[in-house]
Amino acid sequence: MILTALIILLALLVLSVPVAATLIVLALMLDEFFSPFPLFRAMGDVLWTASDSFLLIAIPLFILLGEILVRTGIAKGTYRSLESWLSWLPGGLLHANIGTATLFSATSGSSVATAATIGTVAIPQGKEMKYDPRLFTGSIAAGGTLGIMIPPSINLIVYGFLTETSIPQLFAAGLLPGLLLATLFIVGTALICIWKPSLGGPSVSHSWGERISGLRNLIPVLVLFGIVVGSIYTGMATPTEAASLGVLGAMVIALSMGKLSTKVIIQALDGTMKTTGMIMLIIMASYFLNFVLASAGVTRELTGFLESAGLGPYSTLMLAILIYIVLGFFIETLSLMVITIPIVAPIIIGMGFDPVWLGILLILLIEMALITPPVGLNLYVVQGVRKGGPFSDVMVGAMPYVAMMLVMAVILILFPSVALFLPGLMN
Amino acid sequence: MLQQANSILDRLLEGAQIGSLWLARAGGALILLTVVIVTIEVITRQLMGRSAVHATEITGYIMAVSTSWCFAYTLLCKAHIRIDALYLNFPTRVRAALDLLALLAMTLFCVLVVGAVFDVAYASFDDGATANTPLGTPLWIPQTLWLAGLTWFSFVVCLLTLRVIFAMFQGDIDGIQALAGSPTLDEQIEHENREAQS
Amino acid sequence: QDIDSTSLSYVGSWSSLSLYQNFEKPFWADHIPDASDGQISTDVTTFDQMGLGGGEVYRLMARDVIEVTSTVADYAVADAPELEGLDMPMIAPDVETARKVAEAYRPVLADAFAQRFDGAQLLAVVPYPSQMVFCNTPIEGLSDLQDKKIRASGRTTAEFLQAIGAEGITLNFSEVPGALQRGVIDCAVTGSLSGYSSGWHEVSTHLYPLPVGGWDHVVTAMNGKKWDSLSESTQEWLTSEIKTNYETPVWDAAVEETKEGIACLTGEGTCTRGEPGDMVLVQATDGDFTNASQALEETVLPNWAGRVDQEWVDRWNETVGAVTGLKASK
Ligand code: NA
Ligand code: NA
Repeated sequence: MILTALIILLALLVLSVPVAATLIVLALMLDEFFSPFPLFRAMGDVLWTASDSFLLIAIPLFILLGEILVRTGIAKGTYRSLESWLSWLPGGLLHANIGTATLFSATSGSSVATAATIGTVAIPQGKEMKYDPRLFTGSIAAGGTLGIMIPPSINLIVYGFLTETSIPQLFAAGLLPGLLLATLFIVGTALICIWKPSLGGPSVSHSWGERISGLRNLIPVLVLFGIVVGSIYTGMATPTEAASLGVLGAMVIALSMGKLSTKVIIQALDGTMKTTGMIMLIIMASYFLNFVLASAGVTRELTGFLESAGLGPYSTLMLAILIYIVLGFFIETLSLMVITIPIVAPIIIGMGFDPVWLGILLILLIEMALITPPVGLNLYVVQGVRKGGPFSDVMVGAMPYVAMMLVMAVILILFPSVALFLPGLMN
Repeated sequence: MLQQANSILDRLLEGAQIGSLWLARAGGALILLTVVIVTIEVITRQLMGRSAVHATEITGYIMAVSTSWCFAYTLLCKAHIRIDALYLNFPTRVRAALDLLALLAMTLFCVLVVGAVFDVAYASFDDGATANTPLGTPLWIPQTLWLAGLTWFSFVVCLLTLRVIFAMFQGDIDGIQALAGSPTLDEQIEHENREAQS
Repeated sequence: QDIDSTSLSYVGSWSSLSLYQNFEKPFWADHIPDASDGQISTDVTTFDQMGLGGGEVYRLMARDVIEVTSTVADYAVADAPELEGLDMPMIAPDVETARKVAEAYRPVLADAFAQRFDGAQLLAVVPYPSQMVFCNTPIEGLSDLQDKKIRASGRTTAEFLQAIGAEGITLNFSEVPGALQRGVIDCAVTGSLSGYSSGWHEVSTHLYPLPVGGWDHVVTAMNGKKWDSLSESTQEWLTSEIKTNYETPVWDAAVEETKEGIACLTGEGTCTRGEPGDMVLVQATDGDFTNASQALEETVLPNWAGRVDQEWVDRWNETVGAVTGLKASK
């Protein structure tokens, strides 16, 4: 059954049928041929459960926050400033992409929102300077995934909920691995561009004066970080509420800089709704596909496979990682977490692994799923922002970053303290 | 005959453009409302120690409603993702056929979803279902608003599909590209035009 | 024994909780196929693994999408307010009383299921561990909950808290521990053992061990057509298997789990599940019960009676009312 599903999925996608329609059509075919029950009768209820979601509202909120930063020029200022610090590295602007993504990740809990924000600012710059579109868009898609590793993070909240793990601990645990992964991205990008300079752009050195004076451009984003993360850690707000406070904060900051107007707000809303519509249609469809897969027994096959393999702790962990990489190609990430974590996490935690550490490892694999084709929301978002150029550019460009994420996974497994050091300080 | 139908459809599509934009903006206004509601919630909880507005429940409804209101706008922006890696290598006629296939798939999607969602909203109304929360919201209210967005989306999809079918009959391949083709090609065409002018 | 050769697809409750892992899953996935000598094969999953919220599963069962399902009855009260009558705040202070209430109300519940969910057959009613109050601020009894910010999920619990003067806060469940720790809320309600396993004792100081949130019963039911398709002997066999090998063990375990949950949270008693916490165990007084009964009779029960037809109110009074001495009226 899994094989048939894959073939249908790939065939429809290759024929350029819209992703959301593909997922629903696939779900209905599986229902028709593999399920004894009329699963389509559940579609309305499943779609309502998927849509009526307090957690998901963080996605449009974080996208709106990003849009406001973009339309008011705040994001551009941040990008310029980081560019002046980072673009002497081999690869030039690519490092500004990653650096800005890292910084925005600290104000945004959503990877797609982060990628959309960076993409909007960076892509015109890249086109203007005639960068090779592959690595340029790939670095944005990959950098954007940091949004769910560096706190705040919607996906860590979901993990904490599914496994009954402390969310503040998870947030603390995500910080160092997030920064380390960003460093890996930068080093990896530099190495690639030393090997093949044509993939990057010119290294540009800026004067120290320029760098220092540009630092004030970072103030708005740092203030926002203070509002979003500060309101969580001081007990003012829950992580999802912090997204709303972030939007309010961005508006107040833009207003105080004299950059907020009705026009800007409307533009920001238009952009937000366009991206939200794209993401939510896919998420709704993938919830129904998930429901059909679970009803048709895919989840059971998965559990049985993991449990009956009878492997030791590390072999089981490897097997689980492999499963995530493979499923991550095809399944939207929030659904992927919802289907698999209730099955996989208890088995792995039962073998003696730390739940907080496991959360970070799984988030890393989820980040990977966001940039692996054919179903990778971050690839879609970047493709959507660039308005043109073949999708394969983004797909190919993100691949080196998948490799870097695998390196990061090895680091996490060999040195769990990378994740557990900060939460340890909290106790 | 076909010409006449096309001009009517074109006028309807123009209207749909405007309607979709404003519906999406209304959805955006709801997102801004969320910001207001949550801020009030956080402040009243800090100062008075109570949930003044029950933000958790209301924002869930807002999420469902506002996203359904922007699907049509996203469609007309050509922002619903299609993977065009292979598509771009096909001759224009095949591409036009694939554009139609994409729209037909979307139409199928809409028919199924709207039918299912109507059943949900109607059942909630019929049973008088209320949420098991302190607010006890009658569920048919948010569900009907949600349904409205999806219905409008379906209407626009059908309109676009019809227009593309008519263009197909006329052999208007460029027209199909402009209506429903991949945004990548729009950009290429725009680029070529610019080159030609300069 | 003459058992039909058939298959059952089962959709269980929260996959991460002990009820599913220790009772539902072993019973449906292993015991039923074994005990029927392979005559009945089963397919077992949970609503959360299907991406569902839990409130829609009975409705889906009524539409033939699901054959057998269990969920927290409270989640489905949007479709069937009669279900609320099973579980009211503080109505049964201990497991024994809770069991008596559930048994008394069972025939009423069975009729409600058949009526609301297209002839569905009620199969089992079991409790989650008692839903207690965890506070991150000192309290000495029920009356101290007045003016506290308390997170509660269900409608009746929220109404109850309001009736005793507390401020009901609505908050997503996943955000409760963090909110408790940082004082976003003062108290929250959950099961004793699940509170322990999610580390709530690390973010709160005082435990009020009475079921302010009721017992959160998990109710199992079967699609009516599926039930009717089974032979009489299979129906009898299934009913008795469910009673002896699922329902009774869960109720028996609830006594132990509630006790052990309190021991693990407070350190008073033996905790085999890990490092015990040191929460202060608050003792309930007789006054608490008087207050609770008053809140129930003056606010919660009349509100509920307003949501259902008189027939159900009368039947509630004849059953649960007779066991508890409370009276519901419109
Ligand atoms: Na983040
Ligand atoms: Na993927």
